[in-house]
Amino acid sequence: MSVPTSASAPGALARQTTTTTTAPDAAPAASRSRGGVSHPLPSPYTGAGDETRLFRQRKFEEGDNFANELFVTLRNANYMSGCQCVQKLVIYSDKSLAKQGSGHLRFYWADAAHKELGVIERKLDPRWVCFGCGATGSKQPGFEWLFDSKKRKAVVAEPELLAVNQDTEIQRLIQPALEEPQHPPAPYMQTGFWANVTGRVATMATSVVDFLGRIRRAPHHFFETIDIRRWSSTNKTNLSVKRLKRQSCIPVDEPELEAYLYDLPYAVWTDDPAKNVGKDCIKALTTALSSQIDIIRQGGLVKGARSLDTLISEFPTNTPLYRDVRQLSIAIHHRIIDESGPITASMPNYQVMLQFNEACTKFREDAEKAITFMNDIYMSKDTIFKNVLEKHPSPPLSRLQLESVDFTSLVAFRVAKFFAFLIKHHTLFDLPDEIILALTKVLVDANAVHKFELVPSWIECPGLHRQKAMPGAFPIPIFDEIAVDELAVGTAPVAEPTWQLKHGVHRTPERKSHRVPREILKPRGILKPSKQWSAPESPSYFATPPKKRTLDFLSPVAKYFPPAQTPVTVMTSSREEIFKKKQKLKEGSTDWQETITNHRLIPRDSRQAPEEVEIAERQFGLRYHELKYGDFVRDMKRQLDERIEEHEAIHGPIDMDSPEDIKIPAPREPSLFRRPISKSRSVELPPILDSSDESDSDGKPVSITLKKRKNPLPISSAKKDELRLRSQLQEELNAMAERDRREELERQRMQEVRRQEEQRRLEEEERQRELQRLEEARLAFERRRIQEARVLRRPNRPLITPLPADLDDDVSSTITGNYQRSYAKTCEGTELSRRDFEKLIPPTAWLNDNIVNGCIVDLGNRVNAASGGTENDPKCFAFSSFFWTRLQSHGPQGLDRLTRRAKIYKTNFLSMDTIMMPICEGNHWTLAMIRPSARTVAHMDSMRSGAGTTRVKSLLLGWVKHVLAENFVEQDWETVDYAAPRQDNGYDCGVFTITNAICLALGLDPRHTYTARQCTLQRRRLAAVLMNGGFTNQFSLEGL
Amino acid sequence: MADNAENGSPGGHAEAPQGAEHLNIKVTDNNNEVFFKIKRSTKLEKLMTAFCERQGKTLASVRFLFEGQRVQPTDTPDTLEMQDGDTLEVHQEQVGGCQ
Repeated sequence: MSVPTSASAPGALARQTTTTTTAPDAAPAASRSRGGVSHPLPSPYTGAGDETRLFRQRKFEEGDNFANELFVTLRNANYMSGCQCVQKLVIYSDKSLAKQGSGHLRFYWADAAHKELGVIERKLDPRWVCFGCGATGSKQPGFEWLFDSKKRKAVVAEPELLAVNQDTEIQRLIQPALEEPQHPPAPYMQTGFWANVTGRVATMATSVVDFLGRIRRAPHHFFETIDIRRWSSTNKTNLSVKRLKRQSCIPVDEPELEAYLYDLPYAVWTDDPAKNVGKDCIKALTTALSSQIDIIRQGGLVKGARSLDTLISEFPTNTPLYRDVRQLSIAIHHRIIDESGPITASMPNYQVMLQFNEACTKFREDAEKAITFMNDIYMSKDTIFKNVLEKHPSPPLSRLQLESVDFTSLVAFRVAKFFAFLIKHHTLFDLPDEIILALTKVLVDANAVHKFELVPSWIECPGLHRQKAMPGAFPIPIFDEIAVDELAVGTAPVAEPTWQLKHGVHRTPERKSHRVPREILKPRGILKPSKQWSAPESPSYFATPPKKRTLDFLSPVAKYFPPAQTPVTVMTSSREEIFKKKQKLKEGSTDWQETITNHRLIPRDSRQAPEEVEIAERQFGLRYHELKYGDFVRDMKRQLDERIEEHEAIHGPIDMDSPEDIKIPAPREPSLFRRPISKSRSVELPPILDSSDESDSDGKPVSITLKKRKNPLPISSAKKDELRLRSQLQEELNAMAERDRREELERQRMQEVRRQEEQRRLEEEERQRELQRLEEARLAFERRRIQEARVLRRPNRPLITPLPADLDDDVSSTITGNYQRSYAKTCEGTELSRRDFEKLIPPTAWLNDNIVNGCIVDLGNRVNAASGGTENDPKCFAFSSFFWTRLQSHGPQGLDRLTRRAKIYKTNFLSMDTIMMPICEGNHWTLAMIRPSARTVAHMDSMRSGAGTTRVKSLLLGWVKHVLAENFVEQDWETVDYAAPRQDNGYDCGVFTITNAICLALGLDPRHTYTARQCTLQRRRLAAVLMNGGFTNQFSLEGL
Repeated sequence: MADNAENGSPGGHAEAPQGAEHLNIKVTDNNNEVFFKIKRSTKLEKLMTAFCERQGKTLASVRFLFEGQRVQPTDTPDTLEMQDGDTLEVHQEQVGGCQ
């Protein structure tokens, strides 16, 4: 028994046969087997490793108890499932025997007393249900009825569930997406009609991502799983199946859901049901089937053939008359073989005849039903299709149960099977491709009818290319598209790809030899296409040939310096000079002359081309001299340079006028090769070299020693020119570079300075703006506060109330007693005697300064204390009436001391609420009131209902200005008038003044605080206040 | 040095002559000017009484003011922080009833 095949695993068997239409099949099995202890059955056999892990985990958790319980469970399961095998679960006597045994689970006695039960488990062996049965390889169902008594058995209409016994490999292409329990890898049916159309129909009603999304969103999933598989056991035929399994119907009592799910987008009902299949094809099919029915009815078929060969041989092939009969006979013979298996030799003749007759009848019935089906589905508009249209305005997603007297779901299935049979044997009937395609379409429709699904031919998707979709495919936007190349519509195994179908041309099958042309990208960037060669055959490119470039100076020629090291073979001017010197030394020697002259015979045009130099060398032996004299010459040059430098350091540039007759080629042509120098232009040089050793007859210099000379070596004027020019140039260049550098530095510095300045300026601006904003906010707040402070309010309780009797008596006593006696003392320290009270208490008396100042100054102190001010930082302050006297006589400057003693400064002035003072002028008491926080100056004259005089106010404003100095903002300050009760007599102005002061100090509106009638009472009250020591205790102003 | 040792405080020693110093104070009532030379610690009542007697006025009917501030009889030049040459102004009692 092939162990790994899942189809043969009892677990899988149990699971698959329990599939129902009302519940997911895999989920209960999985949850059941992983669940409770009472059923310690492992999960469906999905892999050895998985099961082993579970097994071990269980064993580890439950110990020996696990083995006992497992044994009991398995034994019970076997008994209850009606296991027919004789050998029930076996317990081996010891572990070694158990190891040699067979089966996945083997129980053995772990101890000699047979009390402990052990169990071992083998990987990769699924047989454990009952190894008595399982070991024989029989397909005895294990114990599914134990757990799945409510499940129904699969019916013939579910061929994949019946295919569990087939050893067929199915390649699963797409894992189920809807349900997490693993769907059993059930082999696709070979017994079902789909096997007949293998390679024909590539798709079934089928689903898709967005379709699934819709379904998944629905609270009741009515489709359970999606499965896409391909049968790929031989790789010669393809069968792709996508299917949805229906779980439950839509609950129709939920209208919203119904409406939601009934809406199938993109699709509408077609106006002609036969459009998809094609009316001609349907008619052709109907005619063909009718003729076959006639043949069967006429009974002209060859019956009783034992095999196909005999059948064919018996039949006369050359008579076209019998062609149809022959075809049909062979077809029916095939049908017998398909359904009942091959006709064996042992089969009696009558049975063969019986089978043939049965097959003929069935074939005829099938053909009749197929004709009816096609007629009902496609041709008659007013029966089934019309009913559906009336029932569903738009194509529904739910089950579509067609009601017809002529056929049912099972009939549709039979029709589908029949068409599958026809497709399988289409070669017998010489069916053209169009007819085969039509057959597959009808088959798909029949299958849909069988499954209560929407008939694909009935719907259309306007705007979409329906004809490009595969037969049976749902609209493209809803359902996945299958690549046409993957489908095969030809006969298996010689499957012709649908390429031809799609493109209308026959494609050569040799795919492997076909070279896919590689895309050659157009070169971009520096890689330019070569102009010398034509386009390359391969994408590999030749490098662009180097472009011939002309050399040019980047900078002006004046800045060009000759390279520090010149090529060896090129003679420098210094070397040239050395030669000249040598020549000079050898003045008499013609050999030297010759040699040097020869050197200069090199043509001028030859330049420094390497070949030319080589030629020159070969001719004149330049290398030879170089080798021989190189060191020496270099020493010479070095010393010479040193001397020049030394000289220049001491004497400045070499003076020009020493050797005037020196004629040396211009410095811009320093090369020896360019100018042959004639003998007559030889240089007159003072002898610098000791030539004592050089007096050889051949004139070759053997050794040259420098003479020690005091003076520096004179050099030629041309060299001087050159050197001077060079040094000048160098100096100029240096100076220029230095200047540039300084300018650059200066520029950078200036830039930096400018940048910093700019930054500072920006910061300053930002700061100013910030300050300005703050200041504006502060001013706005101030203004609001000022406006609020200017508002006067009504008192909370009456200010002037009658005096208690005892106090009233006390008040009366002050004007009857001793004149020397002091009845009260003001806060200023002034003793108040009868003389003062006589000016207060009588209703018509005029108040004197002692009384008025005593009241108002005390009032100021009380209000100050109540409003949170202190002596050093007052909020409210009252000056005496002499403030005004002095202001008039001395001006604001004369009040500095007074102001200072009151602790009023320009710093705290504006934060004060009230500054008040009585004014006695012309025997009339008035009140001056300054409210710095409200920026108001007021003067209250009781004779004028509280209005003041401009003179007083302006004088007061002058004092304010003097105090505030630079803090004074002219436009902030206002002179105001307060409305107050009007004095209508000639004696109460002092009382009015004091009472107004009380009101304004408290922020009360005088008009609502007292009336002119209350003045007599107020006199007595004020007397009592003064005797009381001020506005305290019962005369407290709090709460007003 | 001996004084220092006796007094124990050089500050007190220094203040003593200042306190004993006499001030020249001018008292004026716009018509008359009277100069007084008084000690710093002398109560000004003496001065005020003397001035009133001299001018024939009662003390209760006049007001002595030092730079706008009412001078009480108990004040001294020290408490008022008066300096040499300062002026006391004498005003009449202020009485008012109507314009």
